[in-house]
Amino acid sequence: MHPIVSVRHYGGIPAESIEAGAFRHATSRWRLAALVLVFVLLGAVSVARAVMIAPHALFIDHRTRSTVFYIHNPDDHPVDVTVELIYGYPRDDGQGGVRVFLDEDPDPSEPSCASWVRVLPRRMTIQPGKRQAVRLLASPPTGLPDGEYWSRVAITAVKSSTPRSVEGAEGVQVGLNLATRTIISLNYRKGPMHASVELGAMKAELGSKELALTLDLTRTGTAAWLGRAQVVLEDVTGEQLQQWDRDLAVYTSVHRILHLPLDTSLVPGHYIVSLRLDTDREDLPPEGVLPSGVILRSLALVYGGTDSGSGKGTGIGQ
Amino acid sequence: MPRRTAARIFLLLLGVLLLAGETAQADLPSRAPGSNKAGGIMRVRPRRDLRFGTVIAGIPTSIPWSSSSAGRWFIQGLPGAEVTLDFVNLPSYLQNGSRQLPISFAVDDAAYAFGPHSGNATTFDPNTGTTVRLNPRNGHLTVWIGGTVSPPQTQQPGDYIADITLEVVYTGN
Repeated sequence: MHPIVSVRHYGGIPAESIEAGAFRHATSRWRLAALVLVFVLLGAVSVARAVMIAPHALFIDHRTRSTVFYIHNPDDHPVDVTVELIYGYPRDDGQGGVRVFLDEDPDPSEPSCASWVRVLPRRMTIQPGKRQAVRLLASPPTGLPDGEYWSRVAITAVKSSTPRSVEGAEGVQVGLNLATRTIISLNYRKGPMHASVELGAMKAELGSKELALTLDLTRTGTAAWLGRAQVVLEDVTGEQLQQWDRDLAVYTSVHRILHLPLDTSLVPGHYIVSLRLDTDREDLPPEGVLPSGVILRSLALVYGGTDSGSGKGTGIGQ
Repeated sequence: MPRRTAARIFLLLLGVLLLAGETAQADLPSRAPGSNKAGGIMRVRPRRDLRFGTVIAGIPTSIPWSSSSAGRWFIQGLPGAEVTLDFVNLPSYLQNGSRQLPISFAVDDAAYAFGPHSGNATTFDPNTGTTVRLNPRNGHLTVWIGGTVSPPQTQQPGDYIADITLEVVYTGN
């Protein structure tokens, strides 16, 4: 049996208030349906013997200075879990993508909270069918300036150690056991926060299989901009051909290339690409969302068939 | 199909399937607070260890990622969400007490696919990792890893073991 790992967390709200908080926010029909289904989902996944983490983002406010998440082991084996904080945030990888570069010894000038947020407990063995509350307690340094401070929470889970046969073996037996390390975000906020982003250059290239949209984004607020890009492709008559939604996180500045696959083949001709940047992130808890203004921009493209079409946008609305 | 709609359909289908055949445990918290959809949940599940079985001293043995003996993980999360996949501290040796056995990973020894089948999988270098989006329809992703062990002629018999840890990071993008 493999070490089955599943971790989940619930940020910011004590367990007893989770349901109340859930219903307070689940006002729409879809949200209520989603709530019911998530209820079922979580229970059923436990039957399916997988470990879960939820949500994928934690937020701590300076006034409360703590949050809690839960790790559940629905497996039929004990699981050894280690939780640690490591500084890091998504950064430009230089090729149009982003990666979360982790730094265990960041420069003091970096906005890291990893060194002053404690994890209780850091190591645990979770018995089958049990769950463990893990609390994050912040002890910020005196005189901490207002701002947002970042870390990542790394949850490593492996099946508890079992005796390994090393004696009496015949021949050379070789095997590697699989484990998991899941990393989620932690944002600590002190003082009034506002999030905004500036869209610099925007370029689009239309190929036979994808629309490649290049964006230069720079955070201009006091907190990371956790938003969304909504991209619409239209023909010259204004008929919408396809729409894509992509979450975006801008902690400092990023040069992103969004590779947006086309569902259908395009005929040569003129097209319009429209971009909307907003903070309508339903996957984040409400306390994590910092609303900001909407940015709209569009540009015209000429697609020549096998050759890719391209266009450079100038802002027509912001 | 818009991602939000895909997520809703995914939730509905999943709910129907689960209601038909599964029973929820009562001691679990219901959900992430304030999160409006299951996208906040991530499941990472090892499905099969990487097994070389019995190897012969002096003869290198490779398990390609597409082999039924390759290691395999199953990931489920927010449809369309971007994650990075890295193998943390890929071992250079397997251990049997103080004895060691060399292992290496080529640039095409890992792969991922949006479903459980390897037919449309994309290979990547396990030494450097990759960035990928989860299946936009259901949030699924399957990851495989193979490798090569090179036991020298003098390799002592025994069980040689190591761990491979897959690191999954939501980039927030």
